[in-house]
Amino acid sequence: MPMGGDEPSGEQVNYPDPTPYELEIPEGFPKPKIPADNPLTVEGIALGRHLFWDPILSKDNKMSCAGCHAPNAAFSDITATSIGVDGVSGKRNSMALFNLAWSPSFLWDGSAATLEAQILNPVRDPVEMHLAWKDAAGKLKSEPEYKKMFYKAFGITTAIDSLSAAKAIAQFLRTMVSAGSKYDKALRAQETGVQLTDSELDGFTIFFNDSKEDGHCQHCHGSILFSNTDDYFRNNGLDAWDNINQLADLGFGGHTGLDRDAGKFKAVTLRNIELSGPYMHDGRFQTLEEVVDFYISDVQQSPTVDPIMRTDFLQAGGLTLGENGKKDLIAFLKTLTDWDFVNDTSFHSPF
Amino acid sequence: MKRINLLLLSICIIGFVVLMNSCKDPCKDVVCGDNSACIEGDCECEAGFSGINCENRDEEKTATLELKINPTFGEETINLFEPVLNDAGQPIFELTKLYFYISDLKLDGEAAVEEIMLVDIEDAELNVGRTKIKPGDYNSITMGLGVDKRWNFNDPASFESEHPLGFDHIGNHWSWNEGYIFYKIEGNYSTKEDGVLDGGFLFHLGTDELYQNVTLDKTVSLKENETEAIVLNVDFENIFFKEGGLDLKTEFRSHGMGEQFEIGQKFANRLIESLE
Repeated sequence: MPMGGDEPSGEQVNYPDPTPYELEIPEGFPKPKIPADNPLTVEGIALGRHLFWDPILSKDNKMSCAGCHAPNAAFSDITATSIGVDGVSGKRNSMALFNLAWSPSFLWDGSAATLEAQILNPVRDPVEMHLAWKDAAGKLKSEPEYKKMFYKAFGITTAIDSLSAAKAIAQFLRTMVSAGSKYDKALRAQETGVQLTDSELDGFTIFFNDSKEDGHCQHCHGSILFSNTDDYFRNNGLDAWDNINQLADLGFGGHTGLDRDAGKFKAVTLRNIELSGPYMHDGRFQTLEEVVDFYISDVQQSPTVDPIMRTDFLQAGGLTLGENGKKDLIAFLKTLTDWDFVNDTSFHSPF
Repeated sequence: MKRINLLLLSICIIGFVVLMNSCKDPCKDVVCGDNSACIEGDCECEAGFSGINCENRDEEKTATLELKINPTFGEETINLFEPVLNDAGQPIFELTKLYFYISDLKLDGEAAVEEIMLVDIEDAELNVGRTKIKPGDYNSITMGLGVDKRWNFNDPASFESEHPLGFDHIGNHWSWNEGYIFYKIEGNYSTKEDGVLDGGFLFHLGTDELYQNVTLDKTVSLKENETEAIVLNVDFENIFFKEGGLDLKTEFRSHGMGEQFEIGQKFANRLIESLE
C-alpha cells in the first residue's frame, strides 16, 4: 500500500511500501533517535541523496547542498564562511555533516531542534541557496523523475513540499555515519591490527588529561562522538568582551534570548577535524596549529566564558603544552580522520 | 466378658488413632508450589502473591519520594545565576551549575526502587529526583553521592539513552577508565570584593576514591500512593566562606584527579559537612 496522498497520474497506483532501512550502529555508539514520523527507508534515502546533490534547490540552479558540504572537507566547506548563490558571504562556517543521527540540536546556535527543521533553512536563506520552498516544490513537481522518487518514498507527487523534501534529505544525512577512523580501528586492535604511534598515544593522553601540561580537551569533546552532546553550547573564550553589544554574533544567546548564553556556540565533534577546517563558528582559524595555540595562550575573558575555560585555562595561568605536546596532540587529532567515510561513494553525487 | 473386652479394645484403638491423628503435623505431606506455604494443611499464598497457584505478584504498596536539592548561602536559598549580595548590595557569589548523582537511597534501611537518580537543578525535568519506596514513617536517609564501582565503569551506550547513566547525559561521563562525574558544581565569585564576579570555581568530582555515602536525619511520613519530598540543603557559605572552608583564591577548581586530587578530596569532605 502506498503511504497515502496522491499518485502520479496515469501510473500504477499500487506502489509497494518503502523498504525499511536499518542503520548500522557502530560499536560504543548509543541507539540513535530517529523521529517516528520519518523512519529511514531505502527510497527516502535515495531521494535525499539526489536532493542533497542536485542544484535544483537553489535559485539559479547552480548550487546544491553539497556546494558547501563537500566530501573532502568531511562534508563541510573549506572557506571560512560560505558564499551563496548571490555572491553574498554568510557569517558562519559550514558545519561538517556526519553522525547527525546522534545530535540533539542543530546549527552553531542550536536554533534548529530537528535535522528536518535545519534543512529548511539553507534553501530559503537569502545568503545561501535563496529559493522559496514554494518555488523549490514547483521545480521538483515538474521533474518526472522526482515525482516518481517522492511517490516511492512518501506516496506523494503533487503534494511535494518543503517538509517531504527535508524529510528525505534528513534520512540521507542520518546514514552518514563516521566511525572508521584510525582511532576507532586502534580501539579494536586485536581485530584490525591497527595501533597508534607513540606520538599519537602521547597526544591521546594530552587530550584526555587535566594537568597544566595537558589539553583538557575531553570536557567539551568527550565521549565516543568526541562531542558532549548534552552540554553542547559553550563560550570557549574566543573574544574578550564585557557587554553583549560588543559581540558580532550572539550565538546560542541569540536563540535563547538569554544574556547568559551570549557568545556560546556548539562545541562540535572533533571527528574528522583534520578535514573540516577552517575552525570555529566564524572560521577564524585556518589550521589545527592555530587552534591549539589559541587554547594554550590566547583564551579571552568574558562574562559567559565557560567555567572550564575560566578556571582551567585563565585562572590557572594557561597551559604549558610545549612544541612536542602540540605535535602529539595534533597527531592524535588526525587519528580521528575517517577516510573510509569521506571516500564512501554512497554519500557522493548520484549524478 | 468377651463382649466387654472387645468393646474396650475398640474404644482404645479408636482413641489411640484419634490421639495420634491429633498430634500429627497436618502439613507433613502437603507440598505447596512457588510463592506459597502450608498452613494447617492448606497451601496459602505468601504475602505479596495471589492466584490459584500463587502465580500472581501483588502490586507492592508504594509511595513516591521526591528528593530536592536546595542550595543555600547560610539560611537563604540561592538560585542559579542569581548572585548573593553582601551587606553593601554588591554581588559576591553565584552558582551556575549543580547536579548530583544519587545512588542506593535508603530510608531507615528501606531501599528505594530507583537505584540511581540524577538531580540537576537547572533541568526542568530532572530538578527533582523521584523514586518509589515502601510507605512508612522514616527518620533517616542514607545515600551515595555518586555511583559506586558496580556502575561507575559501565559504558553509557549500554544504558537506554534516557537512563541517568545513559547517553542523554554524556557530559556527565569522563571516559571508560575514569567513569562518571558524580557531581558538577560551578559558579563565580568576586576576587576583589568589588561587586564584579570575575573569578570562577569548578568542582567536577568522580572516581571511586571520592565516592561517598552519607546519612542524614530526615523525618518523612510516606503514605501509599502519595508523594512526599525530602529537601537536601547544601550550604555554600559553609563550603567556601566559613572557617575551614575552601579558599577560592587558590582552591577554585578540581577534577578530582592527579595534582587536583587533594583539593577535590577537601571539597568532597566539606560538601558532606555542608549537607543537611
